[in-house]
Amino acid sequence: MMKYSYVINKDDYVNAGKVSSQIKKILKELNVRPDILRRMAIACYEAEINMIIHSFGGEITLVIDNKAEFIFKDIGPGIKDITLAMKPGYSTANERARELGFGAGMGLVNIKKVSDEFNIESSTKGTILTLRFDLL
Amino acid sequence: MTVISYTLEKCQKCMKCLHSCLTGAISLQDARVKIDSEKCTNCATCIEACVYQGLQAKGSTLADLENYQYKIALVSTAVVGECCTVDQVEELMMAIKKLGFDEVINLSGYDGAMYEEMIRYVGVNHQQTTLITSFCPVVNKLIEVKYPILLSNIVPMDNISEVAARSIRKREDMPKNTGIFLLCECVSKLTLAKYPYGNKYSEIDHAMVIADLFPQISRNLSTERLRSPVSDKGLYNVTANLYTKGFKDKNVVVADGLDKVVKALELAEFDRLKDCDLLFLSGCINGCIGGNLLWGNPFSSFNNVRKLAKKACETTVDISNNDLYGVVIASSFNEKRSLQNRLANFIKINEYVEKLPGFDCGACGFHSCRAMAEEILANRATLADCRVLRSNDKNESE
Repeated sequence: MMKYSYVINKDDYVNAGKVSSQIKKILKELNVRPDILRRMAIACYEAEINMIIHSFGGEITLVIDNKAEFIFKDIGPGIKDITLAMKPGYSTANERARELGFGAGMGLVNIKKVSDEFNIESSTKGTILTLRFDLL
Repeated sequence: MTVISYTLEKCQKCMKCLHSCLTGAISLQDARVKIDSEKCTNCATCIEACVYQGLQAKGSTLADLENYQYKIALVSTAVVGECCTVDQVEELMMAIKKLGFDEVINLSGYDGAMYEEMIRYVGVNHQQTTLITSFCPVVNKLIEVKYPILLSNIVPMDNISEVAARSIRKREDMPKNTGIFLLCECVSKLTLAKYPYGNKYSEIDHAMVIADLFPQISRNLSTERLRSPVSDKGLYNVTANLYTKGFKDKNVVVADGLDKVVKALELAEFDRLKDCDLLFLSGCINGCIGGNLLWGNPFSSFNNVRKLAKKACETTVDISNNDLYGVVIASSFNEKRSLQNRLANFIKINEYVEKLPGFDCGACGFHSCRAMAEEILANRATLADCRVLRSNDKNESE
């Protein structure tokens, strides 16, 4: 089993995508099949950006065993209405994020589409997004 | 396949080549440079990095013409781009013919046909995903080695010189013992031909370095001309700054030079270029006109091409669309080890990586501490081969 953890800071646009790049590098070194790797890279990137834009910060954990499991855990403020957040095009991204090209509202929908397993739990104390990918 | 050859006597073991390599294909073992041909993209960055001329790439020579009765020279469009008038192009073609060829064909007409087909292809296929196109063997190999995720995004068109050679070979009046010679503007295109590097599927018999022929071409230059139409669209196909010209309502992004190419590929892997219909990539600055075996430079060549394109004709070579497509680069993913096996291996490599200093200094002869860790795991090196660790030990014992 392998486990990696990375800290994500609120509004850290400067470093947006760096954790995903590091994770992508690890997955390439593990020689994960390209079509699976593609889905993992997209999901990880979208979720990392979500965390930077919407949350107060948190942590990304990657566990690889028989499957790959991503846990995106933040410390709030939580998603008010998850059903609404899962609707294509719905976005609460602020103006600054939109100016930078983030927040087109496809984040969660895209993530769910490319993941093998998708689970999201949210309260005002924080959101936990868990994604699993079959590696075979 | 690598076309880069190494001369031991000239090598000063300065490691500049090792640090310059994009794919980590170079190592120094037993005081010799070794190039891993599986990883080498033939980008020639190492040749440029070597100040002792210890690395070079050689093509076929004019002596190889003697093996054929009828000799055809295919001149890359980028070579044509060294001229700024059609008259100059025709004088250049005549000078090349005098090297001993029976026929000289500049490939701009084929490049033009390819360009037109690309516009059509993008128009039909643009919504699915970001399409990637590159006639640059370096970029294609780079994607194969480092960005296999993106292999399925590549437009499956064949290399222009191969398309041209195939169609010329099929000509009815073609004499039996015909030799087709490609005059290349860059090192990587030497890989395309049958000789000297053994691409047995090619219809191009020999590939030659245009820079090697330049002294003779220069002596042959006169006011004598050989008719050789230049296609404007063919010039757009080899010039990064002009490439978007024909794509009216499509979003085409051009990345030229390996730094930009790598940046674009990294973004494409995260699907961050989804608003871009076509990504055009070229390893050389300003496209093939920036080829490292040309006598000009990417910047003045661009000025020449711009002038030449205004006087060039609009017609392209008449060739069926099907003939423009070639073999799709298949994913080289070939993993026989089980996932658990790979994980165990990865964890062991990481254990050694942790022990190594992490400077990627290359002093051990491998391009990074990770590469060194892999060697240790394979029993081809030991931690004691790390010079930094060794000097630390020495300092502590003193």
